[in-house]
Amino acid sequence: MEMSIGVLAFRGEQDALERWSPTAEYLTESVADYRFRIVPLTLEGMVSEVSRDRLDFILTNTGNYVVLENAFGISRLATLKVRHLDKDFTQFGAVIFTRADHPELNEIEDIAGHSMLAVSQNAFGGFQMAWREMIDAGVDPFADLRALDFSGFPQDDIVHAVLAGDYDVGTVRSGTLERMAADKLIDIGKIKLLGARQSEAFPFLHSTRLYPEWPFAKARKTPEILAQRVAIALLQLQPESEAARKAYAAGWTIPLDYGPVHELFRQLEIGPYEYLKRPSLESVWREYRPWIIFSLVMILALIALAAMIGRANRRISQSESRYRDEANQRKQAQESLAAHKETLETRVRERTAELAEVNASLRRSEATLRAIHDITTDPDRSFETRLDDLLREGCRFFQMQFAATVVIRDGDVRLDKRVNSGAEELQAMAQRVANEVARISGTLTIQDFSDADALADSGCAGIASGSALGATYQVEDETSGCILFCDLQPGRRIFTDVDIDILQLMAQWLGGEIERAEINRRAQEHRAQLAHVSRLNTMGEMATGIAHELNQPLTAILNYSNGCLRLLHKQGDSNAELRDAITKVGADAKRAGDIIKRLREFIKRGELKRESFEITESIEAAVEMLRRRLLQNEISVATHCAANLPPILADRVQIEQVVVNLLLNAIDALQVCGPDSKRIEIEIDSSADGHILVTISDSGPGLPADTVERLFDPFFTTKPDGMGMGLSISRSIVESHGGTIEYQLDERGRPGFRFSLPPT
Amino acid sequence: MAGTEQVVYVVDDDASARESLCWLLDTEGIATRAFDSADSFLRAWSGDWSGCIMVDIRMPGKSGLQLQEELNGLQNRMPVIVLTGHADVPIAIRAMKLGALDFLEKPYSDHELLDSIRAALELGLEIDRAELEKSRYAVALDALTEREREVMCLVVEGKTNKGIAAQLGISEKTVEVHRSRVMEKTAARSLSELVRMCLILKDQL
Repeated sequence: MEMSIGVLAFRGEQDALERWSPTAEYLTESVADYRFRIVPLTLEGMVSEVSRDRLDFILTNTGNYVVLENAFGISRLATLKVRHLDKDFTQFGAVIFTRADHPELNEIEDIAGHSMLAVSQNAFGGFQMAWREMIDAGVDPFADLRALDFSGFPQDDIVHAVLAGDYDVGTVRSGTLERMAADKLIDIGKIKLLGARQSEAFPFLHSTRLYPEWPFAKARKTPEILAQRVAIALLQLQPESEAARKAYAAGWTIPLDYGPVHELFRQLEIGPYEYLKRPSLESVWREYRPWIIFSLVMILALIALAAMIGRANRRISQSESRYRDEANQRKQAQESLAAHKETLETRVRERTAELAEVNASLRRSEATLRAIHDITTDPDRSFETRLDDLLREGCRFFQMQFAATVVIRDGDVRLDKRVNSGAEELQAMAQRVANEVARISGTLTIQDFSDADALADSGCAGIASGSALGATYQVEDETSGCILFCDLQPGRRIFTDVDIDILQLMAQWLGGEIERAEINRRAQEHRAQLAHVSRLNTMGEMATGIAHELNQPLTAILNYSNGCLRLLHKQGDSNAELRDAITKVGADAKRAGDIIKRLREFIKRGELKRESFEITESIEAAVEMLRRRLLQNEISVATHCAANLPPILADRVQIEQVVVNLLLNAIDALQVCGPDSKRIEIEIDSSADGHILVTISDSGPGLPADTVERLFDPFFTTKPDGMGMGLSISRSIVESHGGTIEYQLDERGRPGFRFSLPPT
Repeated sequence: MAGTEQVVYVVDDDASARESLCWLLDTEGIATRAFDSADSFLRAWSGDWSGCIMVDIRMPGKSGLQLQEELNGLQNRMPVIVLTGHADVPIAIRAMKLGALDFLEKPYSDHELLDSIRAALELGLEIDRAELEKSRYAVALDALTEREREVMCLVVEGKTNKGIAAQLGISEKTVEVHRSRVMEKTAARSLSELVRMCLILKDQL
């Protein structure tokens, strides 16, 4: 049976065959039934052959062995005992050396920054051993050197190059220097070793740790029995035998520990797999092509199957992806929450800063607010004085030269009240600002006109510099004016929100005051109108009353005089003198009547100004007019109004006067009542025929029965200082509207007056 | 009822005006009766009074206008003259609407007053006469039989005896008998008087 021994042919096939064939022959002789044959291989070929399991035994260098041991489970049977320069050894190392006279290099760590030459990056003794020691010394040959070159075999070139000064440092396998020295190729004295070590039982110079020599290994498949027989045969090989001599060996020894080699590979992070992979892909392809093709086909089939399963599983995966999406979304939400939190925190910081700023200006503003409050609420000063003080306070607070109020009416913008009115220029500027404030009908703040590009098209165009603040105010929801401050200088301080608030507060106060004044004026006007009508009514009523009262006796005089004349006539008119005198009595009485008639016509009430309105309006207005008197007298007024009352067509002022008269009577009547029982009730209702009925009753004692008949007579009064006109006038008014008025006690016995007004 | 004396009823709260008016009318031979308020007048009022009423508009208690309203509800036959201290147009209009015959403003001239009163009394007399006639006719009518009344109505409508006979389904002769009975019972001197009688009493037919 033929056994193949794969041999690393690092110097070529021929050399390998010459060197190791005697060993094969020796084994063939020593191990019965087997014929051993040398198969020279390159490193790649070795890996390829081992991976395809074509070899039974392997004889290779230390590094390669460790790789194959790792990858394909080959195991060592014996380690080569080398004989070199008459010395035997089972280990080897490397030297790191320089020229003896190199001034800077004494230790391995000195190598950094220098140039180095080695055999090959993959050479175990020729570089990797030195590499490891350099790393240990803190020098990375690939990073820290000025240059790192690989010369390839033979190693002698490296020694020459270093001695020639081409490179600072060189590394070669141990024993090389001694051999060259023995061959007189070099003077070993000119070599300086870096990191030289001393080791027992190793005769050569070395700078590195020692590693076991080449092993003789068996493939995984090779039977143990055979392997054992081969190992015994190798161990028995005599140094002087041809097999040993051809192999430059002293024989074989028991296998050494190859652990240090593993350590080296691990440390350098090179090693089995990196080294194996590149060549192995090809070899694997070559070796397993049918299997790979078959596998590919199977994989494709599997893919197709997987696709079918995938379709079936798609729903599952979709839902999984949904869950994933949800998880992602949750994650995103959390992230955005975190981001939001950060934004919030930023915002809080910003707001805090703003608040601090606002607080500062608030403190400043507080005094001004107090001043504004004091000014605006001072009851002892007139509106004009208060406005004056307010504008001054504003000038002081805003640090502005000029203040003014502005009246805006029907598109006309007119400066009204001015404070600190100065140069004409300032006035002209104020007018322009006022125009702009009126145009925007709001609040305007200009820190500096020279910056305010946006105002170029507005009423403020043409103001070269300066600052202004202005805010409009409303009177009855109409912009009717503004308050403004301006200055020819840019703002002396930055206008803040608080400033705007204060400005608007001022404007609001002004608007409120004006509105109040306007309402007061209108109420005054109304009262004056009512008073005027009331005076006219009173005069008319007096004239009517006088006419009525005087007409009765005048009528009597006329009746008597006429009767006398008739009697005289019947008696033959014998007394002409008497007849003339009585005739004149009658004529003068008639004249007196005419005088009264003319007087009455002279002050006759004007025509009724009829308009359509709700009776409740008149009643509310009357109650409102007497509000103060009602409050002073602690009288409560309750108004009950029926639903859906038709409007009436009447003279509003006159009807109001009737209600006022009746209320005044009620107030007077309640003087005798205790404080908690003063009540006036107003009931508004309509009768079946559409008349509006107004009843004003009170909780007073009512009128004495004997006065009821004469209540409406002119000049009749129950009050100590009364004129006796009120009810008389009221009756005239109600009757002139075609209505009636009467005194009555209601179903609860409360006294009151009821008047009716016909429907429109 | 016929021949009842006509009286001027004066209603005025002012004593001097009231009394002087009564005195003046007395000098003219006109009977008067005075009341100081609308209520006292109403209490005394009787449906068979004849004459006219003079009432002052402005009085305590019921006014002249209110008195008018109440009288209108009482089948008062007497004309009303309204007196006022001053001429107030709306009040004058209301008084007229309520049926006042005249409206006198104090102080009035005696001619004005007496003309107005005479006119009112004349009217009152006419009303009385009409009333008298009406009651006399009513009595006469009451005496008619049902058939006579039917014949009378058709006669007044202008139907001939023949037509009446045809309509009522009786003989012409019988119609003539009924007709003569009607003329007899009603004491109507002519057909035209019978027609007038029927017009006055048309409500009762």
